[in-house]
Amino acid sequence: MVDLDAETRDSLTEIFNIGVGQAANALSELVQDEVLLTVPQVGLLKRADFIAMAAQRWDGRASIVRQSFDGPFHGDALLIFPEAGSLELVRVLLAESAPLEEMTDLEREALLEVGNVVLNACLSCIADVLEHEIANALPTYLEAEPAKLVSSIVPGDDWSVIYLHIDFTVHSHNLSGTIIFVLDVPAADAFTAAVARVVQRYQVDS
Amino acid sequence: MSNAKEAGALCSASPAGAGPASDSGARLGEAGWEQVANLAEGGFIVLDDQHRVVHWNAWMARHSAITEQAARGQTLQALFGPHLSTRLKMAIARALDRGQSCLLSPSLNRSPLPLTTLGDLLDARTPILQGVSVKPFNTGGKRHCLVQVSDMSHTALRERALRHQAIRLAQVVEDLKAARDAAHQANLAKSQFITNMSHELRTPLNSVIGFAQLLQLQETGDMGAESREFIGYIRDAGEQLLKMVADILDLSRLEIDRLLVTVEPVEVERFLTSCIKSFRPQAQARGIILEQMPFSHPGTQMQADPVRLAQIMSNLLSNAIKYNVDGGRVIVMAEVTPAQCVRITVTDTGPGVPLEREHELFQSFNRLGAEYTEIPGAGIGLTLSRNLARLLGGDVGYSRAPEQGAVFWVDVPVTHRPARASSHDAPRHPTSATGNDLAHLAPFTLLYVDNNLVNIRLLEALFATIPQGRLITARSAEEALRLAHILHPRVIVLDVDMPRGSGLAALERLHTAPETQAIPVVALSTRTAPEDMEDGRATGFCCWLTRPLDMTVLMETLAQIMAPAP
Repeated sequence: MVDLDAETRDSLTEIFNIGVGQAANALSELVQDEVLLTVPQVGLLKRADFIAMAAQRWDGRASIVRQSFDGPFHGDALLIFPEAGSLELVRVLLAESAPLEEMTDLEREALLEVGNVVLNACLSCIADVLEHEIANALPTYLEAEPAKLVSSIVPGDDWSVIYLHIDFTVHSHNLSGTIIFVLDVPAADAFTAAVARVVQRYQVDS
Repeated sequence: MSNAKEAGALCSASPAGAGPASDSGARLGEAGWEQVANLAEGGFIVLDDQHRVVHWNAWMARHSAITEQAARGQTLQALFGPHLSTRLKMAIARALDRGQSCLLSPSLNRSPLPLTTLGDLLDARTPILQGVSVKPFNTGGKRHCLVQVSDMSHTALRERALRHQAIRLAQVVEDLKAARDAAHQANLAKSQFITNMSHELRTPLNSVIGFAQLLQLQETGDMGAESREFIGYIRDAGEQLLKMVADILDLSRLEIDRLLVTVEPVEVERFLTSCIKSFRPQAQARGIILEQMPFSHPGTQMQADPVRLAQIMSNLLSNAIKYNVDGGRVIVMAEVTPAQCVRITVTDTGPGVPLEREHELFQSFNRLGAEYTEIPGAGIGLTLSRNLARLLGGDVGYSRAPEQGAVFWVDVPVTHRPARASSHDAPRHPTSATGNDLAHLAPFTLLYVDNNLVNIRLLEALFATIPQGRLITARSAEEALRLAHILHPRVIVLDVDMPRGSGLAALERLHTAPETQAIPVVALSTRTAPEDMEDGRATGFCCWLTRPLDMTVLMETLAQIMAPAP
């Protein structure tokens, strides 16, 4: 278990809330309707602890938008929804009048775009904290059990996972998802060091 | 990490590879790459770090009507002006400034770029629905990005067709549901109609059976033997008809879920013996032997409504006799099945059910050809029996007898409760007194309340044969109450089916007035369901008699009510 003290946790939550706020503005413009995004909770866990948490949190398969990132920092960003939740989100956003039983190709494309907007915003936040660019690939969509997916894509036990719970509000619909960033050792170390610097700076400022 | 590898590859890819083009296996030159890009389906735009076009493939030229020469060196903003979507501008900025790949989906972005189809002879160009991706890469020490456009119009058309189909399908489902509901309503209305009509049929049948019975009871008179025989036929036919009406009524009640059952432990052997006993005369008349086989689990009890189970057994036994040969046999057997049911089988030695019509058994009103014989029936006995058995948690079924004849079985759940005397073990009608006992009674007055003149006439005719009995009749509840107050009858027989529930109201008023509250009131009704009788007793009737009124039963009931306490 990687511990984040209360101050660090608060600072991170604030940083990510600014990031997803920007994503919410972009989404609102896209769907011509108010979209609210908030991050109520942020945490950092070691791989094994995260897998244990994921196995409890997601009972079965989930809809996942995945973006890999590369460069000096290496890892994966995932936006995870319960299967029904992703379909509901995309249908609320598209205001589709004749919903079909399964997610269609165009709906999946739209979900990928939403994931792309949100994940890019969060990756920008991390990049700002690290004061270094994080280049990422295009998003892909998959349905899998999050715990199994993470255990298969994360090679080492020393890798870390940043997770943020994220709440979407569109019209009167509330949907909860989770964003995770899988970081290799240098990325996690650089990140925790950078966060410590940010916290210190905040303390100096205030 | 295939995507990460792709991203990594993109970052280091150099489309402007150099080298001799003639060497086999050598890398493509710039001209070669340009051809590849022009052959590819979809649009390729490469922008440099100043957002200027450095490559513009043939597809883009075709669908934007801007040539590569015209596009090169220009920004998209300069080329398309207000037609370039803000979202695409931002995506390009993200790619060039922050190295992030972006995706624009066709549903959320109508036209990131003003692209159209080529147009036919009429030059009608329609907008292309686009999926756009923007990917950064570095080459020559500078950040570039690839804007890739794919035509998603066909996907959109296909999905629109699919949605139309889904809407139509949903409509069809709705229509079918409505049709099903309407059919269900119609079926309910039919069942309700049958219920009402069966009630109505009983009133005239009561008169037919009642007067026929009355004539049979009159021992004297100038009736010849032939007339007596005819009266017997009238009464038999009336009773047959009444049974059919009762069965139809039960069947329709089952359909509208209005048939209630009262389940209690029933001892197998005793129950079967009493069922068989009532069919002996019918069997003997045709020389048929009715046999009850010994039961291997004596003392076992079934969980059943004894009245309804008797109805099922009565149907099976009656069929086994009706469809048997003269001098044949009917064997009744019970066994406990592994599924904790008592299976009662009734085997006959008749011609059996024709093999090709076996599947028609248990269909209402289907008599499987018996309609062309002289054997009476309406073809609902088996359907009713099966439905009743299922209501009791069991079933009724058929199998062919090994040699000749039919085997019908009824399964009834077993109860493990210890044996105890059930209220139904007692006779349902008092039988301790006979009609003759009335003769030993002191003179009495009976108040008969019925709004039907024919019924009153029937009672009057009956009382003409009882010298010490005085009959007073009333045709309304009010009249009955007045007469009861004045004359203090020994007993009141009240038709509870009188209009507007006045029968029950009358009972209540009789019971509240001190002068009349001690007078026993016998209910007379066309309602024969056990739950009706229970309700009646709970309401305060001392006895519940059903129409058609059996004169013997009435006289026995009266004798018991008026018998001096021992």
